[in-house]
Amino acid sequence: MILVITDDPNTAKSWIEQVGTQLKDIPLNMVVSAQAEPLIQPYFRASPQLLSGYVAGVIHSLNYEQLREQPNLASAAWLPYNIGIIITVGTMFIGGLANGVLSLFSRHRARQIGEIK
Amino acid sequence: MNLTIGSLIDFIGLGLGFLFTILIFSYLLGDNPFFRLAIHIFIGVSAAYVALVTINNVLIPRLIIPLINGTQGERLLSLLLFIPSLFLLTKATPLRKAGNWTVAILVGIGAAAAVGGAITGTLFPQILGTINSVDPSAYAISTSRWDQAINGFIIVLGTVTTLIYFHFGARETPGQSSERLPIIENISKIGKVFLAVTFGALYAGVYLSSLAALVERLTFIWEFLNSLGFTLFSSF
Repeated sequence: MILVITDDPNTAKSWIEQVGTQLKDIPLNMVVSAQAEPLIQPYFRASPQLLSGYVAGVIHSLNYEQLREQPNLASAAWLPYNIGIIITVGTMFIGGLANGVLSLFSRHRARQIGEIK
Repeated sequence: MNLTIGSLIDFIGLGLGFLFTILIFSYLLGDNPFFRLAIHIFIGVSAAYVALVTINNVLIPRLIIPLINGTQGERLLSLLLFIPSLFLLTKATPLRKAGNWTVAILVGIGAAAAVGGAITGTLFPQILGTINSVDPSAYAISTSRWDQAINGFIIVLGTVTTLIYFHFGARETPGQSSERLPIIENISKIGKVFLAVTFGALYAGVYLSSLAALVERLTFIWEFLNSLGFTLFSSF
């Protein structure tokens, strides 16, 4: 088995293109960051498979740790990671809402100024 | 306090990790000399590491040793590789034109390998994957056929409409600006939606990776400060 560990989507892609195509019965597996997942998933889902399996990001790592029943870094990072995601989504939601309200106000004011003129 | 050399080295490593993390985080206050110092050190260490790996794992075992201790065939082959390497070094001297042919060979081989890999590793398998996604005989038995059919339809729709989005051929009409056919224009709008979703997924992936790295660093700082507090406490 060949195991590639990388955080760079292009490195992962190069390994699949240059090495994966030459492997006959040797499985190619990867441990990648979340940013590489959308780019390597098609190779895993393709038929014939060029990528035998992969673990991507904290979510897959946590699944893998639970499968092995060996809690490690992903289990420790799970709570702060989720808090970070919730803060991000909340910031985006509040920012979008504020932007919408402000643009409504500015449009209303512009209309009022137009009526006065 | 009983400190062995191993634990002292570990402590220095952790301390340096903590220091560099703080130096990098100092960028939150704006560009500053501490941040630049950390960046310069990281780049220097990375370059030195790559150079050492190249020398130890490539140059010495694959070029120098075969040249000195190899068979006659190996020596000849090594010499054939050694001469272009010397010409490559001239790129750092005023005789830089002498190294052009070596660079040309490197670029040519690199491009050929990249194109060959992209065709056999990405293009053909993805075309096959797209075709198989709408082929009922290729469906897995374990999951619902309807699920797979809908999934296949979305894959084909996304592939075709995205490719059409990048079709810029237009009919030329005298006296008027060239425009794409209305049908192409309408289909490309669907392709634009798929592109937006793709870029959104890629951006989310990049953000999640950065968030994971941030969480790891903050956890490290927290644990390091805890361990420091524990060491100081136990030393009394």
